[in-house]
Amino acid sequence: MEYTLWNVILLNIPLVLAEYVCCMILTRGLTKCRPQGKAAVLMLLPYSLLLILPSSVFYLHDLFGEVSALLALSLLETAGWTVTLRAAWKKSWQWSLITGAMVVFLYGITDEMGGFFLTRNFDLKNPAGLAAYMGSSILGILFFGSLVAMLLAKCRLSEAYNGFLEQETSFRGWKAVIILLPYLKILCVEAVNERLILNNSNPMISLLFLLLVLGVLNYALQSDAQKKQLGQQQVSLEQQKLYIRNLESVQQDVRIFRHDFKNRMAGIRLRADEGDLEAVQEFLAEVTGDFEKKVGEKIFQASQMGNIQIMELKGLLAVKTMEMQKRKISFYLEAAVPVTSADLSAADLCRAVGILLDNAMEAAEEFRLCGKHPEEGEDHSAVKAIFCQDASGLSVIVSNPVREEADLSRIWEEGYSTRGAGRGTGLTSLRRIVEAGSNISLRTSWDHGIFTQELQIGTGVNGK
Amino acid sequence: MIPIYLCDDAPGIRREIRRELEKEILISGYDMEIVCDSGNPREILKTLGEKRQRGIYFLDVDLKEAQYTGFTLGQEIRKTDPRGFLIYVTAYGELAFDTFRYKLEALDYIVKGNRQEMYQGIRRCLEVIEERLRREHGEERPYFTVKFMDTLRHIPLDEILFFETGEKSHRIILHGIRETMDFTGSIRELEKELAGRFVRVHRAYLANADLVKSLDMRQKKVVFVNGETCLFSRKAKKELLELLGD
Repeated sequence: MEYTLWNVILLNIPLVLAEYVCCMILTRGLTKCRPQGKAAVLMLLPYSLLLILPSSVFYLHDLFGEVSALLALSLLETAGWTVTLRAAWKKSWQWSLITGAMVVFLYGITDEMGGFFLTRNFDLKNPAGLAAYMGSSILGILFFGSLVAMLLAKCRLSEAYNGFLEQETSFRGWKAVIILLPYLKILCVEAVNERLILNNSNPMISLLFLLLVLGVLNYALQSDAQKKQLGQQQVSLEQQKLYIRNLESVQQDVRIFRHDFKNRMAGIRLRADEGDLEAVQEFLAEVTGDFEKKVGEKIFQASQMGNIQIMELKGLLAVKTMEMQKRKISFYLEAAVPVTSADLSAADLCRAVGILLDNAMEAAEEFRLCGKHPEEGEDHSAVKAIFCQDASGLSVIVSNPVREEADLSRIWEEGYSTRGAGRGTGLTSLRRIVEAGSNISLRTSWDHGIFTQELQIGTGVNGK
Repeated sequence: MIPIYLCDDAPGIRREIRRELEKEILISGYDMEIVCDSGNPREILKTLGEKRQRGIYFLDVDLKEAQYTGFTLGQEIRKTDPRGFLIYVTAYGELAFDTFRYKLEALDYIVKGNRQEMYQGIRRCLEVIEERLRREHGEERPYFTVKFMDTLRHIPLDEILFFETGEKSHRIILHGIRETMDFTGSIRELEKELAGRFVRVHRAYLANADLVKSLDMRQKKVVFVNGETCLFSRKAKKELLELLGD
């Protein structure tokens, strides 16, 4: 059939209509913004005029294979859609320009997707080929456009995209790249096409592939780092919670104490009026002692925990404190000076301290079950942990009451435990940590019913 | 005469402690004497440097002093007087005493604020020191001194079963009746140092002959009084048999 300017223009109308709809769908998927209905319909006319005339002329002069024609058309498409966005979406020019370029770029990709299903070009000279071309183009554009829009909506890209556009000052370079995207795409495709040189290699494809891998890898690594950070935040949040709970219980105690105190104060006042100095002195001693016992200890413990400044260790101690609270084992922590670092990886340090505390916990529990009490004069705190850092290194001392003298020679044997078979593996791995380090020493001792383990982590190679 | 040192920056507290100490020394007839009573740690160290004698120290935990805290003053004292008696004076609940006990081998602490309790604490400390000195005086118990990290540990020789060479070079593991610990050293030097009591029963072991219970000939093992064992070599067998025959 013979093509004239008029019938080409007529044939182009449904194609442009499909493109217009596709761009609307894509804009919606990308930004989640709705256009004003009336303006959107009205803009169809200037948009169509802008595109149909030049593309019809290009077609008649058989210019569609030329890069320059494609670039010009792309420029027109971008301009047309930018104006449409400005008019129908009522956004700023910058927003319209960037989004226009982005949508035209996406449209260009969806338009080409049909190519995957074709083996050869349509024969536009005969009516059947023309009909097939028109039908498949329109359906393909709408189908793939919807698919891409759905994908965009599914990835929730709109929030990130809108946030990206709202930042006035930053991302200037990236905004420029986006504006250039439709043309870059055309140039890339041009560079890729028909360049079978050097053993069928194509540097452009390789480069794009490299960029793709880099992008994906970067994304994966970043999200992994983010996940880790989140985990750490979770740990520190847990610690804060523990800390707050402790403070709340201190507050509670203070309230009870105050209530008590007021009553007793009233009583002692009468005695003081009578001039009974001895009773007043006794009262003072009792009250200070009482306060110490009820509130002072808790405050003390909270401040000790504050001195542990290795985050991982702090987390571990918080968890163990909770566990001991649950198992009703009293736990006493001492860190008189801040503990900031150790010449041992945080993971190994936590493993070692964890083993020491677990063992102490189990022994203390067993000790309580057999109903014995520590010898007279001993502190009744069941498990004690002391952290002391100075110039020579870090000392960790964990002690607990024991029922009977553990067989010191055997506690290092694989799998041996005073608590029955299969439960002593902790000490063996502790021994391994000690032997792997160049300046770690361990001392195990038993004295007056208290079992003590001392871990010394020296600084530097010469720590003895 | 055992020197007593007193360091607290509150003169009132110092006066109280001093009065109680003097009274107790007089009443109980302790062989002790207050040689230095000051709020300035340097004065304490100066007097200590002149005396160079085992002493008793009452130290404030919270010294209002830029250079020294109670803890670092204790560390400084330990350099000159490793076996002195450190007693800390503290207000209620501010003391991480276990740290002091492990790192400085501090004896005890007394709480200021309640006069009666403070006096009791002072009396208790002096009693314990007197008792300890008397016991030490009676026995001539030799000790093995070893540097465990930055602190010196004294272990009675008759409580050490054997030394073992560790997997790392220059690593020695001490097996005692009440404790095990590892430290840096050489087994050959230990053998020289402890000759007489200790026998090199194996390339890797140096055993205390006094604490050997029996020999397990079949497994070639030395059995100690608490049931612990270590290997012995053919070379050492004769010497061991002779020693045990005595």
